[in-house]
Amino acid sequence: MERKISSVQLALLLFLCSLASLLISNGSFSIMAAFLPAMVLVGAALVPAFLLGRKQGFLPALSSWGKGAVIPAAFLLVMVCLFMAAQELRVYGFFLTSTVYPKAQMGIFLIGTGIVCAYAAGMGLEPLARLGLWASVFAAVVFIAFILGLAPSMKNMPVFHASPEGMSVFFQRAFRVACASEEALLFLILAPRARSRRQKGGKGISLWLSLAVIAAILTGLLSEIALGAYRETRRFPLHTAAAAAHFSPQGRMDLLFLFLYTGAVFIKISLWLYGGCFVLRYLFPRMRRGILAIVCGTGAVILGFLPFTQTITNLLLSGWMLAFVFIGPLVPLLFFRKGASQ
Amino acid sequence: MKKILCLLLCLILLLFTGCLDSVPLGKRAVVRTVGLDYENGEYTAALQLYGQSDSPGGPEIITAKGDTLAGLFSNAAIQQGKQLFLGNLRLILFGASLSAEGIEDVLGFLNEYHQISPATQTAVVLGKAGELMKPEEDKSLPGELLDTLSNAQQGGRAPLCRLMDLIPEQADHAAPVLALAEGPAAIAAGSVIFSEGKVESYLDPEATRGLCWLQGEIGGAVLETKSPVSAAVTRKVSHKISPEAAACFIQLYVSSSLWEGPQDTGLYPAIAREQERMIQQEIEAFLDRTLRQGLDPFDWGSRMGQANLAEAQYQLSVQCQIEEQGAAS
Repeated sequence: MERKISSVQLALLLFLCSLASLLISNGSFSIMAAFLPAMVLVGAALVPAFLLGRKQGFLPALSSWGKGAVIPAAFLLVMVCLFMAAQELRVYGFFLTSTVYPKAQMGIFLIGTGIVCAYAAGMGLEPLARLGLWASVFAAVVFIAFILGLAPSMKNMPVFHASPEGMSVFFQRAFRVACASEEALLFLILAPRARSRRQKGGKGISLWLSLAVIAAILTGLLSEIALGAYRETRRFPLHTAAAAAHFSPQGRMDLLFLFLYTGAVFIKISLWLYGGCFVLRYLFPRMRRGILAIVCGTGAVILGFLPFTQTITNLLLSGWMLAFVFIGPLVPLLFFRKGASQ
Repeated sequence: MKKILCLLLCLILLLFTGCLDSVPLGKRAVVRTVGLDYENGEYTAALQLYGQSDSPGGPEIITAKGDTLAGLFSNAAIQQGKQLFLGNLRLILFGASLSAEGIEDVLGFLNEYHQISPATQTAVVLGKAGELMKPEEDKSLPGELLDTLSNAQQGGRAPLCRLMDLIPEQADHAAPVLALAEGPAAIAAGSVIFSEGKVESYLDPEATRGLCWLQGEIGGAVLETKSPVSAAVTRKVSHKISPEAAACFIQLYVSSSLWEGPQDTGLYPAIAREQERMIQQEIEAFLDRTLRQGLDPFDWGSRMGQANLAEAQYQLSVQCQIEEQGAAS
């Protein structure tokens, strides 16, 4: 039996997943500020699913109530996990080949990272959770170093403007951010692995959401204050800001950024692969986790090479992810009622 | 057995030092300063390399030519027989002809070059950048250009201008000007205003310091008033733009400490008034050459609304205070 993790460890893992997206985001301070209402919305969306699966987890809840719906739902979930892992591999490869190794083949990074992450997923959630704690501490140190390094050049005070059209557009943006919160689905998959004490579970969610909001606002602020108008011309503004920062004796800080981003991406891909293994193991309980990790890792790397992966993940992130979180828990209820009436 | 396997695996890692071919340091040309010129449809560059001096007189400087910048850097690498490394590039100099022609394409290339930091300092050279970096045989090499610039910035004789500040699409921006002085020295000789990637206006040293006062980045300017008194000056600047009144109210607070001259505290108010007049004159010189000509180095135009920068009123208030005696720290 695999050891469970605490809900704080789960929260830190999910925070690192959010961080992996935030570090390469090119949103301005105003856009990042939309994370506050967005994360409130995600929190609200998670409540019914959290209550439903609090004791036994989301999948077992589906299984006990959903009857026949669980197998296609689980396969769908595995595919979502693999597509998300594949997309993250692609993004990481794209980042490395456009900023650090312009002459390298992206495939090297897809395969290399895929192997390492599959191995980590095969090891289980608990080692990842222990790594997550240190990675979170490292993230905090890096952010402090960024602030110190960028302090001398902080002269472009950001002006908060929701949007020229008004607050409605701001909230629409917040809704879009919430819809693209892939970590919400990851939470549902991983929640059964966390020790299920009621209060701590709630604390875990709020810790993750709070850290994500702080990191989002900080990344928007740092890139905007340090780069000003130049930020708009950059694909990865925070990486550019790190390259512009000078924190003696280290000098340029893009290397620190690279370490942090690599760590966060490693955890994120590993978690998606672990999620895939977890759901597959539910379907095939006799299969060994190592074999399932190889299957998931291979699947993610193959999908990473396919051009339509991006389209599918964009579709998922455009709203289906949150819809899944919202509607998912209601589906078994419908089945349950149907069964009861029959 | 498991431990031995782990150890072996760790040792194997020593063979995997990276995804790409390794380049020994001796095979790298680590570039410190680049001076770019453009003449007859061709780019010329002088590259100052780190710590690879063949001559005892100073750092090694190589020159290269190319129709495009990519070609130029490629030619420089071939000519040097080493891979160019621009990750430690500290200063980019634009020759006068290139600055007049327009640096938009050059900026596009430099901004996309992954090794170059966006915080790399830039300056415009009066004349050819290559000649400033590598003067004729009878003249010595100028000292560290970066030190010249940073000293000038400290004293308000040159504005800070990084690569990322020069975005053609955005507001106008000032860049420092370097020139070769008599003897083995480069001097800060004012500044220029770039507008849409081209030099639009030249600011003399007086107007340049007016700009630096408004930028609020002066760390220790020397004010040589008539008394004669010299003072090192720090600053605090604020401004308020009123689109309705088509006016900009600028307030500047300056604190200074006396370096030379009478130590009689009774004279302080008179010295402070003289300093205020001097600073006001410098800022007025800057306003005349830029904002009143429609140039907008502070992006105030976007906040001015419909009002015209050139016709707006600029109300200036300068307050000087002498705080202590003796040399400033």
